[in-house]
Amino acid sequence: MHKWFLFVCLMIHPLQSEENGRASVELIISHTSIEAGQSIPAAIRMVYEKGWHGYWINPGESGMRTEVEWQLPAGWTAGPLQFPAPKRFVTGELASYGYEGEVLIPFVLKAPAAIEGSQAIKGAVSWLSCNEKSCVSGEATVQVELATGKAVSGPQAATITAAMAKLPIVDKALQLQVTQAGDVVTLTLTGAAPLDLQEAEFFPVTEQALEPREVLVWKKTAAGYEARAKKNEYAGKELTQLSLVIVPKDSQHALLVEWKK
Amino acid sequence: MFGTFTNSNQKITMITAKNMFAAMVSAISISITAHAAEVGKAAPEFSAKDAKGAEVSLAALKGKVVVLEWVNHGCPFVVKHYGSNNMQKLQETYTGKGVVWITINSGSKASGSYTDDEKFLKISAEKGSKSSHLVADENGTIGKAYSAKTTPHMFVINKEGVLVYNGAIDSKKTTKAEDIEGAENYVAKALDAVLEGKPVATPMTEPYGCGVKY
Repeated sequence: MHKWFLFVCLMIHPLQSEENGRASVELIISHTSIEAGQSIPAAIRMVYEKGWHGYWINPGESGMRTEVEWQLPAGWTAGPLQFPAPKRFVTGELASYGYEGEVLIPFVLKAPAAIEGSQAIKGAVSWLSCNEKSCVSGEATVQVELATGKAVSGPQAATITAAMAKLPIVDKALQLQVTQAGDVVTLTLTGAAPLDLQEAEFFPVTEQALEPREVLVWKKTAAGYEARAKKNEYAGKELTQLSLVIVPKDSQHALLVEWKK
Repeated sequence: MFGTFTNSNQKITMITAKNMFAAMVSAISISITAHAAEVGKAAPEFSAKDAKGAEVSLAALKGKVVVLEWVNHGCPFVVKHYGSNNMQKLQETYTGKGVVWITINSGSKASGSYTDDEKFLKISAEKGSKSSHLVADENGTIGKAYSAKTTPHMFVINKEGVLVYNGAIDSKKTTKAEDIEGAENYVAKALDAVLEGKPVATPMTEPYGCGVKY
């Protein structure tokens, strides 16, 4: 009787979904059962309440990126959270990067070489949600019981695969070059022939690199594209590396370009 | 209106405009001088009425080390530092050493984070704030003069009125109180240096927190 009652409760309020901090958070895993040594895709699924937004890996001038502190069984590893391309939010006079509505933040879960029985995949997620007027923090423990033995794909597999496919991809043909003079950073992109970058959106993955309030305007040159940006006031003397996410207009794929001095 | 002046008259025009500006700003309760807050340079002057009705003017505080702290008690990052008593301890320690600590809320009425004097005093008393002055900067005049971005955002001004620290309270950009212990407190370090007459090792950092709701 008691067990049945608990079972019904779990059906109504699944343990892996928590609500506070103006968002709901859930851990989803592509498989219901995993083989020893196998790596499988998984994701943190955040759904922000209407009017509220959360933050990207580089939150911009205010805010805080979503993070997970994993509490995994011995030998298990969770790869870094892979943030999809964000949106720009300007609140007050500050620019930040993040998400509204639903966002899936994928990562890779790896099982150890020897495993047995069912395993609890558990983590403490912390995030910040803000609207025009205020911010609230959220913390929740997410957990999924994962069977081990053979690989069995679950109902979330397609959703997670789609989220992985939408992540910014490195286009080897696209080269980012950076030259600096004082506070002016000149960015040059070459090898971008098929893309219309003039209406693309750009987000600096690297924190404290570019002035977040400035929107990059790209000009077509003989070699590719060029944009001038203002160096972030906290960047120090000069930039030594810069990663940018590019979201071309009408394109399915966000691109990731990286430069190192 | 000044378009018809010739070059030789431009100097006069500018002085006139400056005087007009000074006359305009002196008419409102909070006044500032218009130059950016830059570390190593004179901190922007301001004068305002604090929540108890006392006049606070930076010029009158020459000879004292001054801390400016931007606050919004509804912000989780502020809650981190007040809920843990970290901010109050800093206030108590350094006001005990003669530092004048000014806590400013630049939230506008429209944003909902504005607190009138009575509410500001009440909430600060409840939190056990040891700040010297509370200032409701409802039009964001002081906030914008300093480019205060987040709550908290901290500034340290030396006895000569020079801005010597602009930035975060500490090195851990989180809302978790347990992160305070392992963090480097930039404000405490800046104050220790200034009080000993030494240069501030880390004079500028990126502040973290909720955006100031101007």
